[in-house]
Amino acid sequence: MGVFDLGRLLLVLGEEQVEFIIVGGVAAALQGAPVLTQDVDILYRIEDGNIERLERALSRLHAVTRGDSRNLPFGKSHLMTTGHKLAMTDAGALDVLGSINDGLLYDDLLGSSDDLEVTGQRVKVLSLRRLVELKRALARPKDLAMLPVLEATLREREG
Amino acid sequence: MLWCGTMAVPISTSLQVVVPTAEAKPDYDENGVDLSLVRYSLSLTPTQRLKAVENFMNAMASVRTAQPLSTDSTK
Repeated sequence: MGVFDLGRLLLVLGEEQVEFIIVGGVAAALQGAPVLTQDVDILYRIEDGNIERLERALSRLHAVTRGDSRNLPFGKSHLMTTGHKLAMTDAGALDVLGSINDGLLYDDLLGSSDDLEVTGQRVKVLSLRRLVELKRALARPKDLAMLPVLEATLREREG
Repeated sequence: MLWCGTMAVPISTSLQVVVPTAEAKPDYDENGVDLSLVRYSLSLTPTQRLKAVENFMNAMASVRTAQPLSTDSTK
């Protein structure tokens, strides 16, 4: 069995009823784009109850800060911030994002997400069209490099 | 039913020959994106797509932890 178990990652987040949207490369892949990535990006809702649920889920996944030899866990005060928290869990690398694209929050993108059934559970995944818009707006070389594949997938999907 | 490897796979005995036509979809778009891969990926379920990503992640992890082959012929 490998190190990464994305089904378990989603299962734990689901069991703890964490409100989140899958964004980034895994969102692109789940929406049908032939792209590969090495971590899972989730955008979570910043709200007291959800932060508690997220903290519990991260604890169950033994999440610690990635790239920090002190192996620090994630606390409530840290999770309340809108920044990016890069975690390594026992199910794989997980980027826990309070916001994306300079300030877009969970509630801003909820209406642009699709409910997909993945490994037997419903998860919210950012729509391909919105993903393309966000990548275009970011305009970083790594985002622009992925755009042709995302746009081709969108065209194929929409016939 | 014919045996194929270790699995029983139904194979049609009436073969169809597919002749490309002028309306056939192109394999690449104007940016060089391989559309056959796009179509294949779209044919999968979200769970299968997640599994493909997971397999890639695990392959990369294996590569990262792999030990280089020794080039010392005295060992």
